[in-house]
Amino acid sequence: MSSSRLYLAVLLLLAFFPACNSAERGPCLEPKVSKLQLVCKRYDTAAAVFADTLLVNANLYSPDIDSAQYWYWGVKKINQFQLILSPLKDSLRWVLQPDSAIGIKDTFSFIYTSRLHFLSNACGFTHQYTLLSVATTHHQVDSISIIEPSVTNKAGVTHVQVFF
Amino acid sequence: MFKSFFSLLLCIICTVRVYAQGMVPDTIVNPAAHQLRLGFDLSKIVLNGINDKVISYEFAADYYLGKDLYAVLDAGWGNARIDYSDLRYDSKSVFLKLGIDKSLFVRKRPDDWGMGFIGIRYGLGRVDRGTVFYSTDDGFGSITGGTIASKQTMAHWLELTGGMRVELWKNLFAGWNIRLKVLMNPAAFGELKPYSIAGYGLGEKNTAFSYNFFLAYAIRWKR
Repeated sequence: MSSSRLYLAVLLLLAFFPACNSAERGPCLEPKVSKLQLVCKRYDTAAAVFADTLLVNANLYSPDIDSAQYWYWGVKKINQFQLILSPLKDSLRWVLQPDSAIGIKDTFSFIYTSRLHFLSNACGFTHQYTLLSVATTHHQVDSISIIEPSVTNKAGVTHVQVFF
Repeated sequence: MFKSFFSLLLCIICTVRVYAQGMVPDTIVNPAAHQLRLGFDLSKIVLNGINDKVISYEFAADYYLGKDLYAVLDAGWGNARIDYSDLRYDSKSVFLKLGIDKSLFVRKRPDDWGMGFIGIRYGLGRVDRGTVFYSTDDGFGSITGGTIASKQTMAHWLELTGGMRVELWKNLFAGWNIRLKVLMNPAAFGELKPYSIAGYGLGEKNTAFSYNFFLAYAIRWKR
């Protein structure tokens, strides 16, 4: 090969390819915590359908976990809540007070299983859950139902609906 | 990545073709000589110094079969260490690759062993992943953790490769390969795919792109 210098130049140029590799941990581009999304509905008698209902001034907390005593506190005009389950328990209670000016509360009891799930080397592990059942008191809430039992880190999924 | 790889490969093929057309001799030389070329990947030495998580070594041997075809054997090994606050494990892997390279140069002299080539490979690797130590944030601010037992897995992949070899001095070659790899059995690793598989690349990716810079020595003999 008489013009090997030309190719040697190309060859040496490409020798810098390895420098493009990075040793840093890649960014974690997905949620690392699996959250249960709860949506509030009310039966609209005029339209004869269940419609989203905005809670006036809601409090939502878990009496079972110290750090979740004020999870949502005095939030206004909201109908969706994101709750967290604990991998250390197989059941968890959450208390919803739709209007903090009125002392009426309802307690939701979630029974579930948890499993360890590997997201990626960038994100590490997380816990995912499967809802087995959910029960509620009936002070203001009419009923509660599981829409999607699998609680993962996937966003935009409604897992539970609460009907007033 | 496929697009980039094929663009680069196409450039190489076109360059080599154009160059080769300009030096086509009247008769094509077909020497009755044997050549066994043994090389090692210098780029890994550079990468081992840069990357604190992965160390790997790669060797290559090719034997001239005639008609511009080379039988190729690549082999190597590597270690990876993941040491994050929430994830920690070690893995070791060894690999072997078998394949064929097709030279795109038309040889004009018996001692002309430089080549631009394309080739294919079948890769086989064994990955030994050590015990995994992990922790998770449950969202309440508390941390849970545990371990996952070690696991041994075989990896299979296919490669499309292209590159060049230039004889710098008598029997001493330098050259590079670019490689596009497709992992054939990603499900074998389960959820926890290894950070790195020696000879393949990032274990989390079902396709990988890599580069080698070889320094090689050729042993030649006649019948």
